[in-house]
Amino acid sequence: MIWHVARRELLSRLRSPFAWVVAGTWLALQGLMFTLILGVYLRASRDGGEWEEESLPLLSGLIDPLYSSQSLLLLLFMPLLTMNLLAGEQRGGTLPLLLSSPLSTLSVVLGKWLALLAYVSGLLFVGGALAPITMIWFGEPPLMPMLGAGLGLLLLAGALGALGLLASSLSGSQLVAAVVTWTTSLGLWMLAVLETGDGPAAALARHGSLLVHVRSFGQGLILGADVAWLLAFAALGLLIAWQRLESWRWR
Amino acid sequence: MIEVEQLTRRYGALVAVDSVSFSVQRGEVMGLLGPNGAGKTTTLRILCGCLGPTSGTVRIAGHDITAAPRLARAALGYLPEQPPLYEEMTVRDFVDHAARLRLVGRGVRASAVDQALELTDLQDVQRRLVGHLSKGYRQRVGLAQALVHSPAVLVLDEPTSGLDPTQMAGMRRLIHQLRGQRTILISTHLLGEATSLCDRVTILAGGRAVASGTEDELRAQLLAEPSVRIEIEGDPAECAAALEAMECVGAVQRDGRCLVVTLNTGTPSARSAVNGAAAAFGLLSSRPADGLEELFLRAVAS
Amino acid sequence: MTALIARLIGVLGALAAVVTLGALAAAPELPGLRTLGLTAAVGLGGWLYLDWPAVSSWVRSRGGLEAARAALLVLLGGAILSVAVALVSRADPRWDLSPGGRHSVTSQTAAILATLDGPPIEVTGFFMAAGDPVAVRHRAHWDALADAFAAAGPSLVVRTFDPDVSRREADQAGVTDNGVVLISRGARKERLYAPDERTLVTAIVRVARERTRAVYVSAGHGERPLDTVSGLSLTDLSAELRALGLAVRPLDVSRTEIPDDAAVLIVADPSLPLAQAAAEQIDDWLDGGGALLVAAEPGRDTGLGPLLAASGLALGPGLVVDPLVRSVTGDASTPMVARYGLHASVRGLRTPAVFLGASPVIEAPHAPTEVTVHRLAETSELAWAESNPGEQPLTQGAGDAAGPITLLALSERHPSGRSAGTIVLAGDADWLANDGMRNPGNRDLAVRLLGALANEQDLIELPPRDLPQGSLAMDWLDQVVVGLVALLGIPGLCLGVAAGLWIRRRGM
Repeated sequence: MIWHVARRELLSRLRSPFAWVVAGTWLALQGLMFTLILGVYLRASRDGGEWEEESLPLLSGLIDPLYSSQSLLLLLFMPLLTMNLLAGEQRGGTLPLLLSSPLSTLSVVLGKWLALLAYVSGLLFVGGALAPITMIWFGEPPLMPMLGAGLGLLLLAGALGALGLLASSLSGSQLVAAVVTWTTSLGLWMLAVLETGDGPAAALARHGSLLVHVRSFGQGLILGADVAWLLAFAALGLLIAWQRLESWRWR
Repeated sequence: MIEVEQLTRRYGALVAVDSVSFSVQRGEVMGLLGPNGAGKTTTLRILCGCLGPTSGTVRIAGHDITAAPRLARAALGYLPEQPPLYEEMTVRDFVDHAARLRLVGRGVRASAVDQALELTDLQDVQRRLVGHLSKGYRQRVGLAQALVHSPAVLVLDEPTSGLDPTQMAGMRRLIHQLRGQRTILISTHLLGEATSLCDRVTILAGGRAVASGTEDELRAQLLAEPSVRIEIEGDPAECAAALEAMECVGAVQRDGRCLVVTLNTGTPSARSAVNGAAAAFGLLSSRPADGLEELFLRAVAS
Repeated sequence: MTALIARLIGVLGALAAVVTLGALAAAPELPGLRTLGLTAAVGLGGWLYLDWPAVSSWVRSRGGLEAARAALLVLLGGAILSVAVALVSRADPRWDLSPGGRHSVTSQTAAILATLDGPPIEVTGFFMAAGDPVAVRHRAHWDALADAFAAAGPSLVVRTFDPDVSRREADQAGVTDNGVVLISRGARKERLYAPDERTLVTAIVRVARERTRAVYVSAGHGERPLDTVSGLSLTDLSAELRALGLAVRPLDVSRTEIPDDAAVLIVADPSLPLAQAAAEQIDDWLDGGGALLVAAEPGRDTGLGPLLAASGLALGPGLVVDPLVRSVTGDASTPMVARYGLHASVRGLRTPAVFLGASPVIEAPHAPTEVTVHRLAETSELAWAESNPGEQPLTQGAGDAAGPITLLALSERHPSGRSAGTIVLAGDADWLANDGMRNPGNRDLAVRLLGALANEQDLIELPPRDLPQGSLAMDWLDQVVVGLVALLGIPGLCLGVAAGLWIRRRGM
């Protein structure tokens, strides 16, 4: 059941010229970030500079900045990918097809989410394979932190995807969905600036900010607490989206 | 096959469907007739699971839609007023997707899709994008989606709306072809369509089921006495007074420039007597006021 | 209008309820939780009361009941998820994938921390989170270290404060500097400055095992006194050292053996030179690992000359004259430290210390090869070692050694690779005395230096960390190719697919 929904969603994305243009733009920006960060890193390691360690570490000098830029790109583009997931069904009148079928609304939500994740994984890991391939071809990068960073990006995509799905279920307007997703995810990201200090605001920032729970993956550290937080975030978003979809039956 | 008992649907203070009851037997074609806003679409949406009832029971093929929703929906094919089409898919892909959603098994899916496309005469356009099709074709794709899993019950919401006369005729022919094996529920606001396509008709007005049955049963339900509608040139008040004085006339009602004369007996002589009396006031037209359309208008007005 | 106000109140109450529930699960120690809970209750209750007609009619309809059910499910789900996340946070499973495990303590440290028992040891760091890049970097290092130690030891309570933001905590702890780490358990306290993993774990072990180290101040030869309070005595220094967690006691090296708990021995300006027997005792003690600080006044013989020479240190002729100071205070004979060395004991010090009448410190001629001499503090280039201090006006003559003049130097002895003690030589003793300690630079220098010397003496041996950094070697051409693929190749491919799909669609 979930498979059928996911399949249609994924195929529709892969066959849409517009989606490929968006993907191309995303990958171009990704490539730009990579080129710039790579350039800075190579120049700094050539000059030596006033770094404390003898040789510039690949992890903090290249992998971590790349990871940060990838996360920001995710933040920027996910709303574009999710805005039409449920709003489109509402606007296009295809909701009756879903609601009158034996399909459960939970399957619809999960199917769309999984299809989105599969697509984003393709963009991140196949389209974005240039960076790890370059590092492996031209040097000796630490491989485990790269896997950790990949995991972090996947979890972030899952969380943002659930948020976007939820926003898309709010109305038939793609614009509303996109704006809600952007403001919420940016807000939760920027919440991290309150982190320093010891008051309740700082505690809120430490517990509630997306950035705080995503950044260790880029430093080669996988914290179970972060994994749990991101999974819980996604689960809650999916739960609310599901109930919202159900509500169209009895509203 | 379809049993609706005391179905009610409220939106806050507004009652869209008010204790509607009707039933459709296996193999029957039932028409849901009523003006726009009478609650037809709401009723159909509740039947198909797109909307939840406020109270009342609905059973599709014996399955209660609240107790066993999956089973009820699996036995049902639904074509809403706006066909639920994914514009960017090809016709074949779309019907195939609908088949998947309706749990048509992998082995039989291809042939089920072929059959549905054949029934709705869409084989020539099956590789075209749904978004590129004309309204008539889109309606047929919607119907194909409703048929692909060979449901026992077919629910069609205004299937001919927005079609030109040729397309309308084609759709009606199609529906005619489908009867027999399936139970069909059609909603329409056209009386002629209801009487020609359907075995029985339920009339909805203001959210309530006003009458239900075959054409004759309807007439019997709605009509107490035979009546005549006459239109005269002269003064309606004078004519009314004159008619009321006659012994075969029970009551006279004014309806604009017309008079609706209720007779005590339905004999032709009584009718001609009334016609004769009205001729003195310049009779323009006289028709039985107990045709279905008249009954329908009256039922809806009350 | 009332309905609108009521609904606004309701929304506020609902938000407060969500935050309260989330906080209860994840961070129950949050202050103001009760207020939040009350706000939630008042908000929701107020809305229900004010908006009752609409609410009750809505609830009675099926939609209202279903909506309540859905809200309940979401609340339940949120609660369960919060609890799950909180449980995982408490267990704190972590996987350090970084090369060399830079986010974790070494297995040795972890093993040591695991052996600690008794009440938890409190480790509190005061590091500024914002400011100049050096401070920020120190904070980043500390955060990583604190995180790693917190994860490694259930017997540790690690907290971090920004002394600028958390003034109250800083004042209570008596912390005025940046980069201070306090370790305490009960009455036992220690203070460290910007420690690394080794120093930190050693100090934690000391606190846990209630071992004290002591700084012994040489007495009995007319040295600077420890007990009387005067401008020349060392009472302020002794107080500062006690704040670090060190015991400070007088010791007559000519008569008594140097005890086992001696980490540092200070010889501050003896009037009578120390006898050779005393010097030999000190030498033996240094051999077993110890730190000696010799602070000699110009013109006085400490009796430790040969010992110092064997470690590559000596006092040069003349008096250090610093024209920089003359332009400020009018007195050129109080040279100022213009530059601190890179040795760990003084790295990061910023405030200049001032020496009150000092001989230059020089490398002894014919220094043996198994010593490493580090310059800890020196003057600017404008200073010189004046051989004729009486001349008026003071000018740099031909026989005067030119600046920068070393004021403080450290020698590490390592015969055959083995570490055999550390000696620090200063050409002045007043900088350590109460008069000198009034200068904050002197205070910082004395405390850091002696603290580092004391810590060095019983550091737990940790295996050196192998931090493979990874490497990347690309030339200009490689970069261009990669850039082209990244900016044109891959996106171009996508656009090509888009175009192809679009053309195909038009025909369908």
